Amino acid sequence: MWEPNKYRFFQLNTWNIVIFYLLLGFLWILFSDRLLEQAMDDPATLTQLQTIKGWFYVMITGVLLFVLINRHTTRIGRMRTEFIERFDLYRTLLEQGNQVVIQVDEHQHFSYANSAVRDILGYNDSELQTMHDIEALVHPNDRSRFGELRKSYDIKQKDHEPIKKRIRLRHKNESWRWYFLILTDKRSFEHIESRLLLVRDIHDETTLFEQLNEAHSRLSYHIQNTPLGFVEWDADMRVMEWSSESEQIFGWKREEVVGLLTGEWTMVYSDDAQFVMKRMKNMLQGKELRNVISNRNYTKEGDVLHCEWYNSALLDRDGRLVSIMSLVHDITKRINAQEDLKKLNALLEEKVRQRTRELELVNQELESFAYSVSHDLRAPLRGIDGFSQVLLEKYAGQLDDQGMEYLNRVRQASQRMGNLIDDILGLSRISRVNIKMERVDLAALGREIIESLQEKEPERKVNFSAPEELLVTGDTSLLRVMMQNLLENAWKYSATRKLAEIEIGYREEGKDDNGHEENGNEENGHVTVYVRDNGVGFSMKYHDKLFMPFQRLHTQDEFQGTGIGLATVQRIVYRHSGSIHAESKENGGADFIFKLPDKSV
Amino acid sequence: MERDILLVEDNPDDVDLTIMALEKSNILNKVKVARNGEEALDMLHGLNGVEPQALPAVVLLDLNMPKINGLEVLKEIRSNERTRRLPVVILTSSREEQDIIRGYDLGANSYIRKPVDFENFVSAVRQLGLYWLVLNESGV
Repeated sequence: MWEPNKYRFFQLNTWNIVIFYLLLGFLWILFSDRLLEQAMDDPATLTQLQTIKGWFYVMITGVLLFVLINRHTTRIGRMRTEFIERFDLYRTLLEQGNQVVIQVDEHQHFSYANSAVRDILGYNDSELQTMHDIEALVHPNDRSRFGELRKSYDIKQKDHEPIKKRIRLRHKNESWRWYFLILTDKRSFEHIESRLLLVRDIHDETTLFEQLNEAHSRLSYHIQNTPLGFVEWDADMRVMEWSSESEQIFGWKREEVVGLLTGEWTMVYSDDAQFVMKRMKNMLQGKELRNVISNRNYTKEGDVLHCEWYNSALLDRDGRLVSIMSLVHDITKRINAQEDLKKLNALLEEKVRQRTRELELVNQELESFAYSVSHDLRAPLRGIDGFSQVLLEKYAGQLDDQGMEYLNRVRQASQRMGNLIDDILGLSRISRVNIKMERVDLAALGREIIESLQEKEPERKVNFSAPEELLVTGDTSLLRVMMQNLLENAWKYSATRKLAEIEIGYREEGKDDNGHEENGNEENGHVTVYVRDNGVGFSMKYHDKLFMPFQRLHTQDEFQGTGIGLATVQRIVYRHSGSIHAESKENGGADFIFKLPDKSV
Repeated sequence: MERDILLVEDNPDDVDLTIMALEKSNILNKVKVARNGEEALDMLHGLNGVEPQALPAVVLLDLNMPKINGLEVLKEIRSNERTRRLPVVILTSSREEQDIIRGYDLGANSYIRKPVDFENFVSAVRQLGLYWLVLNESGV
């Protein structure tokens, strides 16, 4: 090592030599001349001897001087080489190192910075010198910490340990980065000549550390807050970690179970133990890195829980198992609920079966009722009508006009009742028949029905308009009954018009009277259709009575009918999961608007 | 000689009305009346194993009757070798689809629903008589 002490020794040695030389020369001159004068009388020889002695002296001192100077020159040369070598080494270290070295001079100004400053702080040497200090680059939150370091720039201060601070500085690229600052002394021959400020970029490791810290606290936050229990096992299946939620689920405290081996306590339900161990062995042997096991466990009190275990193996860099981490989900409630649900379902199914049986019975009853109505109620009517007719024919002579008229009334009444019975039966049949869904063209049906109505009453002038096709999905025979009823109504109630207008079509977008958005086509697989006439209409205040069986808004004298038609229509629409309503005003025609399925079959 | 008509009908009103309707339609065949299914079968198959001499030209069969109903009578008629091809016209109040279908399934030749209106009934009976008693060539 190159040590300053060598110079000191060298300096002292020079003075020693000079003193030694002066002493020797003085003694030589003092004694040799006096001794020669005593021994030699001949002045000429004496002079000759003194001359030789002088030359001899000069020769000796010359040789001595040569040896000395030569030795020192060699030594200085060697030292210079050594110095240059070391200087180069230090300079290389200084310039190539990943550390900024700044020299703070006695005026507390930056007098030097190594080239690393450009890589580490982004500024070059001269930029830094014009700044005088890096104080302007310090992050506001780190100012006070930097201040402690800044105080020690002053070299008049006493010795102290190097000051170290972690501080954020603004890099030239405007980003804040973490740096490690060390303020130390630069000494020269024991004197503090200036301070050195060393700056190391620790941003990456700091942020990495912060991220690691954050990840760790996030993980522990999750473990603390998850409703799942957390358990960690070592490679011998010894409990290493037991979270507070695990305590909640199983009842064992952390300190009771940490360190226990599988054989030392019983937490797996005995029937499940074998297969649980098999699965865990797979993990311990590295066959599985992750698995989910659903099994029963005991609590500390001996209750049985249904648990789901989410296990994952933690391996080290060499693939050796470090630990198994498990999350436990207590699904006892869910399992119990499922079982309850199953029971409830079974109960419900039983109830449904029971209801279905009851309904079937009621239906059977209804059917036999309808059958008997159809058969037994009509038979007496036939009698009434038939015998009245016989009376009219055979006994006409014995009755006056009034009597004949009464008998006709009897016949009319019985026929009307026959119609009523037929209509009621029709209505009940609609609820009983099985629906066969197919594509039905209501426009074609409408034309057919109007044609037959026209045939029956050729004198009526009716203008019927319908689109070329009006497709819906439904049961053909039921929809025919529906259209028959609606069009017969339209026909009937527009009878007072000189030119009756009957129209069917898709109801386009717009609002109905109830403020509902109506969309003619393609509304949830439904289509909205209207049947319109320009007949007498009805007052909207009776609209809720329209579709009730036997409710009529007109007398028999005005318009004939049984009051079953619209009830039948409504029932048909309902059987298609549709809806129907009417819009009208007195003497202003009527619109019957219904929604039917529109799905391709 | 014109063969009889067997009318199987439990309602006396309907019996009379049917007979009157037949008369009004100028169908002069003799009408035998069975008041229920059992009686009808006795008349067709004979009592105590004694077979009646002649089968009717046509059986007018009501469906809804006590004891043995019309469909059962029809079944019996069709299962007996002697009466298998006998024309049977179901004449009933019921318009229930199940009755119509079962009636035809069991081999009814016609299914006619009695209208309430007597005039309509007469015209139905007239057409029935015309077809089964005049036009149709019997297989028995």
